[in-house]
Amino acid sequence: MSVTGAGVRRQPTGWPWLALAVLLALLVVWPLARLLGQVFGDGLDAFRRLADYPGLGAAYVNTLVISLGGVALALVAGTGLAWCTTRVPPRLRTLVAAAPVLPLVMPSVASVEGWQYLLAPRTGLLNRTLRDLGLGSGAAGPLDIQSLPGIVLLSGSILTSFVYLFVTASLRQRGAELEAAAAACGAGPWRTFLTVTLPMLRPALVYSGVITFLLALGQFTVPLLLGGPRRIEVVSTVIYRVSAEYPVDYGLGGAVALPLLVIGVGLVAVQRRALRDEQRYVAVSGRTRQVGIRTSWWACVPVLGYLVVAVVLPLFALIVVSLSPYWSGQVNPSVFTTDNWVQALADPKTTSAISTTAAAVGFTLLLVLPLGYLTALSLIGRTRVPRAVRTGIDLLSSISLCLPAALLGFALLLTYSSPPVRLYGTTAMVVVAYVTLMLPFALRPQLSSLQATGPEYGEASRASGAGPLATALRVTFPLIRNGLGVSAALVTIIVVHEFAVSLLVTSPQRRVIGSLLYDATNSGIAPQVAVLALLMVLLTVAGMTVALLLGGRHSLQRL
Amino acid sequence: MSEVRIDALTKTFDAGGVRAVDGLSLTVGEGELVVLLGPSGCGKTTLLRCVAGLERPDSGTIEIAGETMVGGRRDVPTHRRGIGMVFQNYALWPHMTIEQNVAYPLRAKGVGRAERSTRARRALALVECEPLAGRLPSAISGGQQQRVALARALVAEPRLLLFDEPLSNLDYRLRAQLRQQIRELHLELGFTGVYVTHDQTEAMQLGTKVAVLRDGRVEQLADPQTLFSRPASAYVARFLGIANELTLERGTDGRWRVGGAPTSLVLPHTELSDAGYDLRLRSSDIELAAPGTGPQDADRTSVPGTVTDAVYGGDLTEWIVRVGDARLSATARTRTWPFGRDDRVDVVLRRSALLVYERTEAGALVPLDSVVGSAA
Repeated sequence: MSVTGAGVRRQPTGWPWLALAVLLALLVVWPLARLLGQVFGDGLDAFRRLADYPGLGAAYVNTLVISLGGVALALVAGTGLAWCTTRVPPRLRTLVAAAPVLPLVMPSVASVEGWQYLLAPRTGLLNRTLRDLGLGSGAAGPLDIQSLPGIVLLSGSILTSFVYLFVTASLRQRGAELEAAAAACGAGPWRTFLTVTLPMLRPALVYSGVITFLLALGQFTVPLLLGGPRRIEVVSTVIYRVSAEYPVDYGLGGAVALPLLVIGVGLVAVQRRALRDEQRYVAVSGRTRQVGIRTSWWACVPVLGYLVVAVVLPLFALIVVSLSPYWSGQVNPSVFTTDNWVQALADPKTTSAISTTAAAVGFTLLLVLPLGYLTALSLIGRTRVPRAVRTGIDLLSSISLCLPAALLGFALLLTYSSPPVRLYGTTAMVVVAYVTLMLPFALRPQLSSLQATGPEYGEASRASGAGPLATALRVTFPLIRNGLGVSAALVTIIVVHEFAVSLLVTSPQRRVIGSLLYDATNSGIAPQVAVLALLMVLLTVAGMTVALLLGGRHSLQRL
Repeated sequence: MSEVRIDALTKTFDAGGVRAVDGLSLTVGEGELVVLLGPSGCGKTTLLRCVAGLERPDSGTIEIAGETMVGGRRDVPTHRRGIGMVFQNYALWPHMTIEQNVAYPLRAKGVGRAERSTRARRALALVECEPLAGRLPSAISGGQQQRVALARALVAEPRLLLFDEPLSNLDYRLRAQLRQQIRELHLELGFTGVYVTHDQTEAMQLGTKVAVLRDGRVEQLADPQTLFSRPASAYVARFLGIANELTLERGTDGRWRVGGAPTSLVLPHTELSDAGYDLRLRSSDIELAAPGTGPQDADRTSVPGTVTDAVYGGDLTEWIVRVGDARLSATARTRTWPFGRDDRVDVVLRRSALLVYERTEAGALVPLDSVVGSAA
């Protein structure tokens, strides 16, 4: 065999990967840089306008209270649920372990609206029931979801699933042998939990704590929808209000969000440092088994309780409202009608929003999955990528994780509604925004899938004479099918649920389903809102099913 | 035509850190199977991966069949090097059937479907795995997986076969079986190969030549017989498991002392320095005798010792003997000697079995046979 022709000389390292780094920078850094340019563009004038903005101090305090409260709640509840699922009898374990993930399928808009119908002070179904039972008095109360505690509770409930995901993965990966060893040394269950389980969970808790705190800082849906009546503002809602005024004061909006940006970048840096000595927490045992744990049916109770709060009750409320001709806080099956559904589906606004959403999801997947694959490939260290380029790609690909979605949406609005790239009002703008937002989620599952498959499969292919493209198509893709499926499912879920960026970047003429729903809440027709929220749930389930079918049967467990 | 020439190859990891391969040169002749032997971290796998193109060396050249693979501005990617490779953990693609796995290198070459199937089955027949063709890798045993991996490496008749510790993940029995199979395949097909292992039995049985590596350099390159009987340095001797170590020093009276005890051994003392040497002996070369009955003459010497244990191991028994501060092991057929724990014995050493090494960092072998000794 003679070796001649192209590709024989030293492989050109760097250039293709540098192009990837530049592309990522264009997607993420350019909008941020433009926004910061607006903030600092006219000296410190933006900050002077900031000082004059009414109620900003309260908004910062609210943001902090909601974030800290929500994260504390989520950490406790998520860890508790994860611990419970290891105590469930083996026959039910797979089923019960998947249950706390289920709320991720619920768009936060849907749970917020669902709980509105249950606990709104006047018309809340539960409130009415409680009043009928003689608790509370007058026409309102006794409970009020449209309050700061209400927002904290609901935010915490939504974030619980995320904490659960990380903690349960860490528990499962480790098995129960370490706990069994502690028990064999004479430690009781409580001491074992405090001295072995909890310290071993530290990396998972740090990681999920930071992620949920970042999500909570950028929390938008819950405060926007629940805080409206009492004017409980947070940073994200302030940014949204700034963007709704014409002409948009980008300098002011950017300045409002600046503290969150600083906190976000700082936290991610701290997180990376904290997790650097992760080796200490890697369990040494080769095989992990759940052995010697006492199981109990009672362990199912908290999991079921969480499901009821996060999924069953709000879904029930939404269905009831969507079938009622109007909403007054009473369930009256005799007047149930499908009129709201028929009307909504006949409305061209709804159908166009659905098709825009579907198209946006499709194009986003088409772009972000290959981008995530290439990024994962460059990060995994099996290809010859110059160190500096790799570090750059690593940072660029995780920036959007530490940004509040509203801030990113705001920056994207600024960037793509003015020259040189004017996309406002097109589906392309929505897609570009989603791709930017989704990159970390398209990247991580593929990266861990690649890491799990080990380098030798690709090497064996190359040693067998297959080039890079053939290796990718015939060996790597089939092997990371799982990770691809999980990436696709995550992206689908988050894009359909996405609210902050959607509200900011869609024009009134080209709505996605999330922004259409917000329009409906503003016009105050409850059954219409309920129908749209349920449509979002259905779209999510449909998209996720397709993604997971493509990813094979094990991808659900890995989600 | 598939000689491999490696010249002054250097590969450093972690920017200025450890030199995994350090200016190494080695030639593998046509039809030879050279075994790279050494402990973990000696650079043997890195060297193999450089030959495969899976690592890029910092400097030096690699030629296969007269064509430069790496060197100067050339760096031929792995898939154009015309190699076949067997990995330690088999690396069969789990989503392909056995036949698809084996046919893959042919597919990469653009061979037609029908011919692919015929040749894949022929390769599978070669390793006695033809009945498995339709199965998935997860449905066959570890030994079968490695046989299939071997068939995959052979199927396209590459000009060079690379083996990266292919038997390390198998149990003792399977290892022996597959070792024999690889040996027979090499005799039958006459391929050129490089084989990495840390198992000396594997190296001895498979290699037409064995290269013992130390810190990224070749410490000794020899055929198995030479390697076994004359390890070129203390390092090689230690790695080959020649466990018995005694000091060899000259006493004030000019006589040689072994392990502190005076002997009548005739050694070429004019050629040897007074600094002292390290003696190494295979446990099968040590004999035991009742105390006081051990011979002392020009070719044999005896030193007194105490048996601390007799380890019964079926056919063979190992006697552990303490001589001064040293702990010696003598292996012989069970019931060769009647000694047990705490018995005093004479340890008999034959001059021809002594391996004498300089007491330096290099620890080079002192060739006793080539020097004509004079009486002490």
